[in-house]
Amino acid sequence: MVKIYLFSFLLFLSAGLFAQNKLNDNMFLEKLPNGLDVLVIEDNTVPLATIMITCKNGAYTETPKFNGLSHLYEHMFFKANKDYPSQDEFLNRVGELGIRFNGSTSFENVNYYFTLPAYNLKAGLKFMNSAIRYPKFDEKEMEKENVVVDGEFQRQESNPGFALNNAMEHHLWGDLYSRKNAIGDHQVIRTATPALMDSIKNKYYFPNNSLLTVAGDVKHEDVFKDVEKIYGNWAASGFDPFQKWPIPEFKPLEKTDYFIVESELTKVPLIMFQWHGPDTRNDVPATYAADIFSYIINQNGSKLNKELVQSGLATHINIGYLTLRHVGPIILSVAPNPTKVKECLAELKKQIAQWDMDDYLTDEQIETAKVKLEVKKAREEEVTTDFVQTISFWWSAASLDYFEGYAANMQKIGKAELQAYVRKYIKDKPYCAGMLINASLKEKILPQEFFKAN
Amino acid sequence: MKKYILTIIVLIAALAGAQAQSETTSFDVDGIKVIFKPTKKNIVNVRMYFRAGVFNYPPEKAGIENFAIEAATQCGTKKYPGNEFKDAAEKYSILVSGSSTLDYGFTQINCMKKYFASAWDLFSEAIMNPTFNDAEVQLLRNKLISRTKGLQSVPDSRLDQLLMQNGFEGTPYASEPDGTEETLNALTAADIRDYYNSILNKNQVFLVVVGNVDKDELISKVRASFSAMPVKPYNPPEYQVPAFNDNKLLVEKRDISTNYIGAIMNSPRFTNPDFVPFRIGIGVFSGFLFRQLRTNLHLSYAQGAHVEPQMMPYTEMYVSTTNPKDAVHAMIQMLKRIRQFTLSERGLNEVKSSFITSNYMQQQSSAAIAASLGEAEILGGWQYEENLPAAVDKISVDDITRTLNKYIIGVRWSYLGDAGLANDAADAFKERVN
Repeated sequence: MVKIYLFSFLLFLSAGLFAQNKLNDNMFLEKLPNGLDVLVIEDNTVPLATIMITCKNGAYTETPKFNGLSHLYEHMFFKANKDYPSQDEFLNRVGELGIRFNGSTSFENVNYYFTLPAYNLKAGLKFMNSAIRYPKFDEKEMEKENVVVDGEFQRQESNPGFALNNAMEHHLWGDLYSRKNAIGDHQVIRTATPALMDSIKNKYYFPNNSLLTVAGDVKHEDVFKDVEKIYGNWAASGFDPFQKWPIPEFKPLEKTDYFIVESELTKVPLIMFQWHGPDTRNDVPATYAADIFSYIINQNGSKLNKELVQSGLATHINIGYLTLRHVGPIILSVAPNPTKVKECLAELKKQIAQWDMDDYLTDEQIETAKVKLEVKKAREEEVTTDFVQTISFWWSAASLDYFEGYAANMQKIGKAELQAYVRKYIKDKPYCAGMLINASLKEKILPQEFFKAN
Repeated sequence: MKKYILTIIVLIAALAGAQAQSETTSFDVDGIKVIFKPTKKNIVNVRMYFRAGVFNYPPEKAGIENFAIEAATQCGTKKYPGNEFKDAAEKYSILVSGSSTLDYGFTQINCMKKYFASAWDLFSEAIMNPTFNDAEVQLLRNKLISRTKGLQSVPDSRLDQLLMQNGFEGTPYASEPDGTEETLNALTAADIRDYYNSILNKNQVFLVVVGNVDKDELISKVRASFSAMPVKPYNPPEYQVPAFNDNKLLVEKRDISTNYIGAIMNSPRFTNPDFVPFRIGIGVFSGFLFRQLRTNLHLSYAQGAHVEPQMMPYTEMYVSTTNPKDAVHAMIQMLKRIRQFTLSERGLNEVKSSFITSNYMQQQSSAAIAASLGEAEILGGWQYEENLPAAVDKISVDDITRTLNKYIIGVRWSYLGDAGLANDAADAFKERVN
């Protein structure tokens, strides 16, 4: 069964999703003359190899006309190409090599990977080369796949959180909604043509806009030699796609914006606050502070947790910051006790107003947050087939240099930096606040009377 | 052709190697069985399994085991009252959790090796000295109710519930291991304390430890922490596995963008010699569904099939689609085809090769290894998990065909979505595979 992951729902995941440390001794990086970054991660604990290609593409490159087509392109990668001219031949090769494959499309990257027995690595590298460089975009296959991709969209819509998440993206990003909406638009997906796929390929699918990661039971010297032979003649584009087709800047929020989303799909209410946070082009230090801050607020002993969860006003809280190159969102989600929603909201606002006070965060909490980030890194590295995904994210959202320096830079963050982060991005700054609620609870608690900025 | 022969040779070597690399051992420490797998990585996972599950309590107490084991890890202990337990775990980012499912419950810790001593202290406290503080139990109850409502809201998890209700009606498997709002509200702190004490029994538990841990140190920790655990008689329940020899449909209406359809069918028990070839055969069938429903007919994004090796095992297949009639008909056609299909020797080797990849992908984290060893021990013995690659290597094409024909007979369908479209597909749901 093939699952294609979309990262739209990262919004609901834990804080500081991709916090990392320096490159380890088992990691080796080279750049081919054509601009292809090649990263090898050696881990011989199981006899597998994973090959991943990451391309800087995704929602942020999409105008409304292309909204959802980075994701459709990702699906078309696993179909016919020059060397395997039908879907059946492609899948037969998958079987021959013992491959488990998958891909993901997110805000700022698209990636594709094969995991296979390590003894098939060289054949796998050639197979990946055929798929990434020579896709056919057969019209009949596309007509079928448009429906399949839309089916993935329909599954997301069927989940209770989708309505709130989608409304939040509209409120938060306004006219540039498509640039943060990886799943796309039904009509665009259903009517997509091979010409639109070619357009994406000719803008973004070049070695100088890609990272090739090879991880597992491999030797880096051998991998670099094989990659040079197989991918060395992949011609560079000769241009930087982000200079030629710049990503438009997201306009800062002008005012705080409260809204209520009614849905019968949810049985429990959910409150979500989001702010425009820092990004890796303009304010790198604040991205580190954002991760530490999130890991403090989410602690059991934090003031927010005590006043909301331990008091019984909420059953769950979580704050996170998603590191991105183009405005990472700060996301606070709260599952209020259905009988105390109004009191929960009032306490939440009261707590946020205190987030930059001298006694809100303790030195012990800051140190605990750093330990938690260290352990998180160890857990991410434990599963190599997943770790390549983490690396892929950092390469596109920041850089491998950022990833390498993460641990050292994290140590520089103290209370002053955390307060500066809160004051610059959260406290007294405009934000969007949404509530997801079903009709019967809405009628009972009348949130329209209190779910307001003031 | 030459290359193909080479692939097969390498494949066989890899399967044999997988068996040879086994380092798992088991031993007894003061009456507690310990299953230990040393690893090289930095993360340690330890689990105390309780042989219990839904057969161990009546339907009106649904959720009591999950509530009790989770409360043991979240509602304070003698040494760490109230929130001190959670704060202590957080200091070193030690994950401590408890949960329960159909056949068993378990408490686990997951930590970096350098924090193992602190993690073990919390682990032993949670198991031996939980206090079930009233106020903390009430907070946890609210969380669990919120979680069960969330599970009912998510279509995939709701479909799983419907599948169990339809397939296992009249058996304990039809009740929810997580409980419902009604059953969770009726349970008192005293109820869950008493239940927990009833399963805290050397004859009912075993320990799985996976990580870069010294064996002697482990033995001394087990002895120091658990020698005082009560010893009581334990009689495992008798499992009468239902036979799915007819078709039956359960429909729940929900106004959503697509329709979620699942079915359960027979499966051999985990310890039955038919299990491994049948599991491989269902893997082939899942590939059939992908090619036919997604690639050829573009009826669905998500479809597949797998075996659920419970004490009362079953096979599950599923699809989400806006065209239930054609999708269900196509699934039945694929079932008919797989019953008549004879895999080629080359195809068999490809399936085995794919198995190597999937199997090793699940052997990367200490938590995943502990989970598979623990479940295998519940179902008949951890050695079955260790010996799986060798068992796969031995199966033949005939084994696969024979077992698929033996077990794929009736189809118990469950459906979540547009009831009108379910009605349109009524004939397809009734189609027989034999």
